[in-house]
Amino acid sequence: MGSPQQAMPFRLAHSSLQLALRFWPEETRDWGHALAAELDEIEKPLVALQWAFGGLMLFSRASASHFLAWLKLPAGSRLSTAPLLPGTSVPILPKRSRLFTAVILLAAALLLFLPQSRQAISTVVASWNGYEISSGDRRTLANLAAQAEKDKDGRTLAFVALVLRDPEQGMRLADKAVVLDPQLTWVYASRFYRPADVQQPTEWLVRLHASDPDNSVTDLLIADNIAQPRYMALMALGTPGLQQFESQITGDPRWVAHMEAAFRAPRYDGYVTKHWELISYVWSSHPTLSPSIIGYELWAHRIPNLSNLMSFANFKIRRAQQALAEGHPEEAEQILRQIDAFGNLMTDRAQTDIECLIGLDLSRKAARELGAHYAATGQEAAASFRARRASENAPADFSPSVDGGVPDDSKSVSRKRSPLSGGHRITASLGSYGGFQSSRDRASASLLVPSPTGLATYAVPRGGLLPCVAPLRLRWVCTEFSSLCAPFC
Amino acid sequence: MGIRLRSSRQTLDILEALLARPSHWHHGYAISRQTSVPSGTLYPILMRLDKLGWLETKWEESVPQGRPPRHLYRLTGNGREWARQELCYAQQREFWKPAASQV
Repeated sequence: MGSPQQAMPFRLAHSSLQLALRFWPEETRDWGHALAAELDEIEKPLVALQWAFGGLMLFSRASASHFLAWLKLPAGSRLSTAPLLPGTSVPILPKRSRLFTAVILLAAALLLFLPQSRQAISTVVASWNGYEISSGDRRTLANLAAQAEKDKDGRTLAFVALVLRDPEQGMRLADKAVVLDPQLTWVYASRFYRPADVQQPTEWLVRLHASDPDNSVTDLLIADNIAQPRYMALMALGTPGLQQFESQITGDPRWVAHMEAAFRAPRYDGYVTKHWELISYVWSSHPTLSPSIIGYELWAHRIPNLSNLMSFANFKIRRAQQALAEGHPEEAEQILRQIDAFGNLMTDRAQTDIECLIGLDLSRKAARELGAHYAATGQEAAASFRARRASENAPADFSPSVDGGVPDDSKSVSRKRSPLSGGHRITASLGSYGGFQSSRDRASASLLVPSPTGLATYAVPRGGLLPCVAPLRLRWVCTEFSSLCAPFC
Repeated sequence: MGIRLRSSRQTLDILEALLARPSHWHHGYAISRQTSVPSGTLYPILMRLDKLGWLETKWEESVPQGRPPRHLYRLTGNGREWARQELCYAQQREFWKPAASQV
């Protein structure tokens, strides 16, 4: 029987280390010899193999640093300690030739031809520029639109129409998209406000309403459009109070008619899901689109104006109170129930947390008034039920305050799954009437936020109407994936 | 660029082993057995200690026939001083405990 040192594991350990030593870089070869010399002291085969494995790891590290040192050499030189090929005087790593440098540079340049590489670079650049649409992005969009027109691809045209800031081109493409695919008429709802200072064709809203007459959002958008000039006129005189705005707008029968229709409509659809599906479609068809383009489109959607909803709810409540005072309790109850029903509809069908919170607040207002109404008409059980509902609908963070509207994250309200978020929880908080803040804790979803201008959603403090004037600074796409909306108001 | 040595637990174990008998010459395998540090980790640490000038090395002189000479290690004067400070500091931070206290 042979000695343990002649067993297979020992021989394997020895031979692997001896082989490594033949190629071991000169500068650390002594250490390789030192490690190999210890093998004779090891008695257990498994330990010998482990020892040899450690030696091979050391060899790979030494070889890697040797190769890195070679890469750093100036062209035309060679390492003085380069190991030789076994049995020859030829070094393993040749001279650093100029050709090698040229090939590496060429390979690096060729990487730029890969769309993924360009997207990677543009992602970094876009993050520096706050995801602003660049001139390169505009060229990309123009090409995208040209190709979509050629292919008669209405959805891509609609996407470009929504992203483009040029109003004329955006409107033209939106019209083309709707002609190609009438199911895209909802695009008018989103495109309508971009930019707010450019007059958009009002017939869009008519068409939108005709295509989706049961949707309260279409009426709300028309009402927004009616209220816009009055609101802007008030803004020109300084920040208008809510009562001032209400007194003007509720005197307009067209506005009242559309708000009434909106509150009676059987459906509430803010087109968020459709918008998200459109973005998903285009992004999956063009996966290397610039993150700025996707990012811009992700946040740019409009929800109905909060100030209109609140003004109309207050208007209806006053009418109910008047009806009760005139001895028509049934009419008063019916009016309040209508507000409650609309609030519930908005809460149930809302695709954003902000809409959900607005709906909740409308229901709470209605429940509070109904409770008072039932108490006044001697219906104690109904009054108690409504009072309970009012308190259920008004969590601690949702009660109005006059603290200047600083959103408070600690008071966040989480709600059911948002249909657009693909399972990602969206949270929103309404710290007070003075401000909204919404955030996402996961990626790849869009939350709709109001535009800083025009008749979108306004934060309404008790004593006045404060427009959300601070533009949303969205730098979140493709980087942090954490926060959607910067605070505004 | 200077050599940096991160005072990992393995490094501290090795320093402790070398300090246990400071004037004695140690073999790599003996250090590995004493500290349970595998060869792939032990030798890079020894190499760095050597480059920093804290380790003395020499090859075995009297070698039985048929066996290669072994490499021997011990801390230099500066190395011992530095090693003591490092061990003391690591103990204070409760980052590392001497082998005896672990038993």
